[in-house]
Amino acid sequence: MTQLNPIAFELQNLQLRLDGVALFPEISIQLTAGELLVVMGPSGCGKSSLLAAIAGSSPSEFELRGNIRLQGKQLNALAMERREVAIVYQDDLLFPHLDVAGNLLFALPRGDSLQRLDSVQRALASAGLAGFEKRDVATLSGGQRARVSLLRSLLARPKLLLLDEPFSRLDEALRQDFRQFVFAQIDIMNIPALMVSHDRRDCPNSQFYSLQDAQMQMLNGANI
Amino acid sequence: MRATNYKLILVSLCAGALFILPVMAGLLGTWLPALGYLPSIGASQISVEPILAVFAHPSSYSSIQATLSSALLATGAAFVISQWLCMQLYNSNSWSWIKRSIGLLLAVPHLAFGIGFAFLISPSGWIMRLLSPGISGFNVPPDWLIINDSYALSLTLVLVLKEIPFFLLMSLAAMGSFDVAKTLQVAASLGYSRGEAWLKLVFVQMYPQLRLPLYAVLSYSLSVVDLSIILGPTSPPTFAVLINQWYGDADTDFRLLGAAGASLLLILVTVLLGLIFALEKLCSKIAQGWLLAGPVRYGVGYFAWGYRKIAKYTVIGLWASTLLTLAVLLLWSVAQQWRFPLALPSKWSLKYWQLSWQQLPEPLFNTALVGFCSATIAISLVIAILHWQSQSARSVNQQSSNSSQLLLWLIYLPMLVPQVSFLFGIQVLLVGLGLDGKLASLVWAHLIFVLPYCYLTLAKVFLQFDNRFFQQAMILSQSRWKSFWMIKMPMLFKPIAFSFAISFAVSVSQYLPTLYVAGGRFNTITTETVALATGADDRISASFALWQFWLPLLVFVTATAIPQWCFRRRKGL
Repeated sequence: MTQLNPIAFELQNLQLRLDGVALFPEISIQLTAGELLVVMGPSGCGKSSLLAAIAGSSPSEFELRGNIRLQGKQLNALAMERREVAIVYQDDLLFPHLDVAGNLLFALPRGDSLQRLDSVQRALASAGLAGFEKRDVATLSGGQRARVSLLRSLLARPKLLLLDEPFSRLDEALRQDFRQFVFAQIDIMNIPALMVSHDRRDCPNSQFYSLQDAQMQMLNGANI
Repeated sequence: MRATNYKLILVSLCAGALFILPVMAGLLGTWLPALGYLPSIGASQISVEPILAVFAHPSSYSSIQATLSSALLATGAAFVISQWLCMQLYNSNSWSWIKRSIGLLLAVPHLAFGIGFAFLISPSGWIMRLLSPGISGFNVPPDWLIINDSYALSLTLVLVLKEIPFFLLMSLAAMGSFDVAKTLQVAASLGYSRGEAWLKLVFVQMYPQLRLPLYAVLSYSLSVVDLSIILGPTSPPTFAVLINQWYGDADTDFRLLGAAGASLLLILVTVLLGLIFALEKLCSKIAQGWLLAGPVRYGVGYFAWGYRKIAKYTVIGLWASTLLTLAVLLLWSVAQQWRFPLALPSKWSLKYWQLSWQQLPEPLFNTALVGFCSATIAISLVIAILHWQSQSARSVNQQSSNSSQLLLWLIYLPMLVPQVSFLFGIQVLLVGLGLDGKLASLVWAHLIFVLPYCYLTLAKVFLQFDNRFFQQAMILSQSRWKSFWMIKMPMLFKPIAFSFAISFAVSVSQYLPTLYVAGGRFNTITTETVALATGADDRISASFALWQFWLPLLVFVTATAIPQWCFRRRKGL
């Protein structure tokens, strides 16, 4: 069975503590490649801290217990830049001193320069942004910035995608559009993804993980 | 993450060893002679004789009096005016212009400004010439003592004009740490007038960050030598100048007197800073009730339209004084003959430029070399310290933790201790080690004073840099090195260039450190300017002062233009 449905990403009895107090109950999650899990919970319950802990960017004051495993590799003590975990925030964090192509090239692994440029062009075209290479990122619309930001994260070939309320800065029409784009990209990349959200429409199959109760729930309130 | 904290402590210790220990050693090397111990001149008897000699010296009292009055008045006036300007002009239509142009004013050295200002306001100065004989009726310069007046008023005025921009810059930095506009909005909705809201909410929040700059300015005003030689009273001069004269006396016995005076000056500074600190505590105690007493209904209009207009003219006056200073220096440097009531020279000549040009290359080269070396080393050290600080901060709100508070005080120490109080000791130390008159020693001596300003002008912006950009870059590029050099450094290029330019200007303006450490082997444009301003031809003096004026400005304009040009197509920066 494990051959057919391998577990790509796993949290085992994970807990975050701040000054000895746990932020949320112990959590255990397993994700397969291409699977998206939405984590919900009231504000202040540690959703963003959870993502930071997985990405490796959480401040030293947090104490981490349990295991984070990606493709069978333990991440707990690994430096942020060695984890191969991408994180996308509601702020796009595009580098303002680089143009669109520069932002994307920064994320691309080293290699033949023509091939790298080609990857950038194809990535932009896939997002409906063909010909945007030389644009100053400050001149892009909110929706365009969000797309470039996601493309940039994916060009680094991460093995896990973390999304921290990625849609909350976008207005209603753009949100639906960008959501479809994100779901499609996760599918194409075939990597597991963990998303923190407030919006019920972000949940695939009407399911989400409740951080407070440490279990999967249906949107209608039923436990699974 | 623990490791980076450890690194921060290590860096701090290194900085301490490089800069704090020498200051301590310099102080000790001054205190011992002050107590009669200076074996190199055969004095080895510990006694309080030198200290008593200072008190017995006929010049001491009036000298200390003039020093105290000018320093307190200058510091107080500059501080109050700068805060009043902030209150009146915050978010007015000239605010963004003030923010952008303040660095230019700051880059002009005190000395060049002082010399030019003397050419403006002296009885035979440009202003009097413009008023004569038509308005004033004078055909010969009046016999008034404006420059070198015994109350040190002209010195005070120049100090006020030069310290306002510094306080403004520090206030701007302090305002960056909270939302001033929102604070004022909320206060207004609660019925507070702008003036009251500013005092009770904005100034109160800014003050902790203005405390050290305030102390530094007071200490500087109490101990400034070069500016005081030009503008201050002469018989007797201000205390720091008097001490400097004692040190330089041909009779080596006067060194002991100088050391004793320097130690007394340090005590004076310490006591005054202590008093101000006590006054702060007292004020905050008294103000507790007033802070929470609620808004004054229909309160006095601190913030009437007319006041704002006055504030605007004050800033314009600040700029005008700098531009007029530059203009009068230029005029004098090309004047062949300029008789008194004439508004412009009657004969022009480039002779004095040519004359000064023959003497200029060496001091100019020395100044630029020492300036570039010390500014480059300072900015590298400061970036290293700040980067580690930003990476080891437990969270964004905890940057003011105890260890970084301590670091701040250590960095500020050379700004709080009067230069004349420890440079003699450092000189003794360097001579003892055979290191005096070396370029490296000179760069290092400048670095002691450049580093605080470098840190001061960069810290705020650097620590407020959104660390998620750096984290995102590390995740994307999988390289700390690349993320630092290709993302963090370029994004902070503007403030770094600004800080570099200010550091350079600070190095250019150093007079005493050059005098004491260079051992006469390195003349800078500043030491030459002081030497020429006391006695030599006005026209030569003007052309030298002009170079001291220009060099830091040139570096400043270039340093701010480069990032501007690099990112000309980037609106987001």
